[in-house]
Amino acid sequence: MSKEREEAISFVLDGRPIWARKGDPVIRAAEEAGTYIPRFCYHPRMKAVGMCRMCLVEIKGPRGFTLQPACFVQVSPDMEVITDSVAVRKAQDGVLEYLLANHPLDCPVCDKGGECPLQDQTLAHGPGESRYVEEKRHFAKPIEISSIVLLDRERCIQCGRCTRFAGEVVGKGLIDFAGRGANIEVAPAPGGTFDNYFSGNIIQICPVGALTSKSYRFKARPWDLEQTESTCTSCAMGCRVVLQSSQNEMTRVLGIDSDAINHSWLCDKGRFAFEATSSEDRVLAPYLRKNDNLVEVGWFEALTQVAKTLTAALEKVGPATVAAIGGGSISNEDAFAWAKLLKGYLSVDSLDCQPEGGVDPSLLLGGKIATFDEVVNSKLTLLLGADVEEEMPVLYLRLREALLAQTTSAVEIIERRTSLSTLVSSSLLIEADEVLSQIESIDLSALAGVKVKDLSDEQVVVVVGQADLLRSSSWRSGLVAKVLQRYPNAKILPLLQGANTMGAVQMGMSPGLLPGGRVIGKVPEDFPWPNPPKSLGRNAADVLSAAAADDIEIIFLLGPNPLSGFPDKSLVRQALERSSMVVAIDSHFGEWTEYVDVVLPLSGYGEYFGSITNAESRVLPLGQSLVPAGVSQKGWEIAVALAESIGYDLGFESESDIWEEIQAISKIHRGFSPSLLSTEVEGVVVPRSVKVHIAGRRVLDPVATPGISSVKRQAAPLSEPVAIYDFNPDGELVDSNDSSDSLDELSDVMKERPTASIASRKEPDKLRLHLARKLYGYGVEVASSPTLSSLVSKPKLRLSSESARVSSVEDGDVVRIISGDLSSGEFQLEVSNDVVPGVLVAEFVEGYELDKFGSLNGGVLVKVVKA
Amino acid sequence: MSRFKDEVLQEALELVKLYPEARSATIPLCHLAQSVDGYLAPDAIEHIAELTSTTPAEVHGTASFYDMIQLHPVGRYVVGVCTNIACMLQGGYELLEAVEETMGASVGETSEDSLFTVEEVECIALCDRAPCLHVNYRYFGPLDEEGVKRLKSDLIEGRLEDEVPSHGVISRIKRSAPELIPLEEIDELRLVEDEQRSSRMAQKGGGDA
Repeated sequence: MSKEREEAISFVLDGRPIWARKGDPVIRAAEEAGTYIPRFCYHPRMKAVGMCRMCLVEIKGPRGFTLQPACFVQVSPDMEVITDSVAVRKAQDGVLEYLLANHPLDCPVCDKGGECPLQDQTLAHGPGESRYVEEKRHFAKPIEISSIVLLDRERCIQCGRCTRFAGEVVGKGLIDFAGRGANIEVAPAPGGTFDNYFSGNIIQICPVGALTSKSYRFKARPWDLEQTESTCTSCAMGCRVVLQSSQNEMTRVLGIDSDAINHSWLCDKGRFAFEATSSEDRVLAPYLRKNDNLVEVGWFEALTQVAKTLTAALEKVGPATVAAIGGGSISNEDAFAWAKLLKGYLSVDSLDCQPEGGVDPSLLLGGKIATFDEVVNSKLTLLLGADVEEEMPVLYLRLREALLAQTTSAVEIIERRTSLSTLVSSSLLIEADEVLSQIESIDLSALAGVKVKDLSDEQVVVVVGQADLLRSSSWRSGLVAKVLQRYPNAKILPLLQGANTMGAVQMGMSPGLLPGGRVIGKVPEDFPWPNPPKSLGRNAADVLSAAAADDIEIIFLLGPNPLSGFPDKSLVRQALERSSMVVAIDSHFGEWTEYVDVVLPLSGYGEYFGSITNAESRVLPLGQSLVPAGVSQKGWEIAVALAESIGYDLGFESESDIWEEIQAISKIHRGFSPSLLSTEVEGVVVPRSVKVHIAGRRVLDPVATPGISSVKRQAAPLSEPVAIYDFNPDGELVDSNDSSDSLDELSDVMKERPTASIASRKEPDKLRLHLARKLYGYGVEVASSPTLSSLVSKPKLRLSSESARVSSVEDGDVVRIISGDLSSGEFQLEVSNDVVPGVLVAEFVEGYELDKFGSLNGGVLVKVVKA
Repeated sequence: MSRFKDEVLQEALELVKLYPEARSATIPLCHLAQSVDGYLAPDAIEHIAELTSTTPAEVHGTASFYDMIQLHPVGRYVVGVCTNIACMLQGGYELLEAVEETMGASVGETSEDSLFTVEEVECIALCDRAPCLHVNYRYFGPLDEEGVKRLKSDLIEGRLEDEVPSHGVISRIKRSAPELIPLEEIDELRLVEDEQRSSRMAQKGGGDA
């Protein structure tokens, strides 16, 4: 894109000379110059097809001015374009009359009414009256084309945005035009559906009310909706969204077109996660366990009780008896305040925001983090144990686009094939136990088809996945370390589990860490926290083991069910049962509620403003569109109140107080201030010394993104992006590069962590269990959003044909997994050579007793038997 | 109802190989499926999608564009009666009525014995023998009520066995594609031709002057 931007050309638009990027379609160049050309089928993120004919303009050719579709014709030097003439108006008028011939005039009951491009453009350019008096065509309506999308075929104007989205963007043409002429309709295959992770996008891009959302249908009128820009928190991608609400209830979420992040797309999880905020299992008030029952109490009573028990335990045993798990799903402000209370005042170091193991903090803080733009433009992308579609769906769309356009070439190393396997240059199936010893001998660049001499380290990006939930973080770091030996300057993109895991780690929510990557034990004298930890704490898995062995008394669970993705549920159960007090700072009652002693109500998604930091270390704003439910509070407010009950003053009265302190003590956040988020729609990558490729800001299609942001930007003049980075007098970016001095010491601290032992496989019929991370596998969103919980499907098992033979099972058999005395439910087995022999791949979906086999330390050996 | 099997599968794979892009084999494969089942069954759609690396929705979309690909089970004989202007003037509607009555099925339906499916079609370019109809795309006309009855008994009693195969079988001659000419050769050929053309043009231009 940067190359395109350099080549500016001039053309004549309605008599005035205009600068445009070479290769841009006329419709976009004109829009950037402030002239809006009406359109239906054109979408800036998809290939132009020129189907609807609405964008006809007059372009001068050898035979004078002729009508041509502005979306399909690229600007060329000195081209003359007329967008407003008698001929153009007549064409627009005719096209609209034609489109309206069969379009029902049910606008008053149509969901799209009020934000409908057909309605708006008919008013602006249409005939006003129809000459068509014949009967319009009729179809049964609406029909279900997926679990969440309804199709009203009468309203369809055949622009093909949805079918092109399916084929071009998602890569699965699950819907296509069927029939011909007046009987043409969008249809899935006979007996098929449009079920996929991205189906909700077609609701947003449909320029009429043909595709509607089951959950939003008839719920609100667009002009009644209040909009707030925010960031999606259902994964660590941080897609930019707009929250729309009516009467203090969120009605829908739309994707904003952000060049750096989501290109206007959202996955269905992100689009419908908001429903969890208004679900019935919200915690509306503090609860305290009295005589084995959770009883609603006031804030004062709950906090006093926690403070009392906490102070007593600290006095009696010391900080090692207190631990906190979670923090990857709360805001930066919340994370910092809790870190300050627990680490800075109570000396508690056992604080882990990645209970699932995740990615080692030394990689997150010490390594160079790649941005999504760098991933899709790198020369060599290594996908290590990553199933991108399940882990970060929108990144999958971007990677898919990049691999097809060959802007990057990728090598995948994993135990099972993924949806990217057919697109990458090379997909290596290697058993996870063996990959550590093998990876050094693999010629990665040759597999990617990249010549070694053309490849510098900086052009390598390692995508660190968590496709197998049973793999430990030390396995992951070991693997990455070996790759980094070969490419020392390679960048890393961790597919983190929590939306704000990166931010939480930066705020010090990991054992041995303090904010900004500082390590405990090496604190400068002027450090503002009075009582930082003296000894290294435990990570979440160790905390749970210790608690199960009565070694820990008080456990804080920070944020919406932080243990949701933790595969070893029996350990969690034991740990929570045995510890004397479990305090959940949670927005929802959930799977662990019966083990919790105190519940402090946390505001939900959309109920507070703040910021999160996504996997590429980009700080993004969270918007508030609702009044917090009940007496729930923001995470940092709860920390401040608890500190007060204990007798400390954290010194925070607002988010800006918190940011002042973060800026003062965190080198990562030096030069960052939350006020930047109001001007930078793409967020701000920290540390700010990192060079970031700044793409030219796109002017957005209001038909694509009805969010306020696009409305604000649609008529912006073509201009250079605002520089927020430091430039020297020569105009070069200044790389201050001073953010890592304390980060080097990190690795020493991390060495003290116990390494995982990997179970060895001696009996051939014993298989190693691979718990595959699924998009709808677990999490508060999935459990509490009605739309998403309806999408959860029964997990499938996969086994290679070789292993199936050894275990005497066949494709289609109903089997159980057995390990020692443990036995799972029944699952259908698929025999597939897309799996490494010796490994049983089971999709991890909560509620199917797969967690029985969960254990963070190494692989779990199991058998499969016919049920 | 059925996926390709055995020889038909071999034939299908050969068809796919004929084209530089597997997708291009979609329509021939639809016909192949139809020659087996008489119509394009959902399972066949799925199999074609696998063979051409597309999706069932795309195959269905393509197939539904063409009237000659049936997406629902039809009788052994699909009878299409023309009611366009030439046939209409010669009694096309009367013929249609006769066909409906004789074959025992109204337009769009299949007779109870699953032998005949009746369709009303646009001009089939047999206006010189109006009113006309086609049976599995083999043309008959001009026909009256008697003719239709005779046609029916001929079909049922096998007198037209050679001429009118059951629905779906469109050709009994196996086609083969010529060897591929490498792209470079095509380019070279084109260069030579271009040169010849320009020299011709130059001579012609000289003559004019």
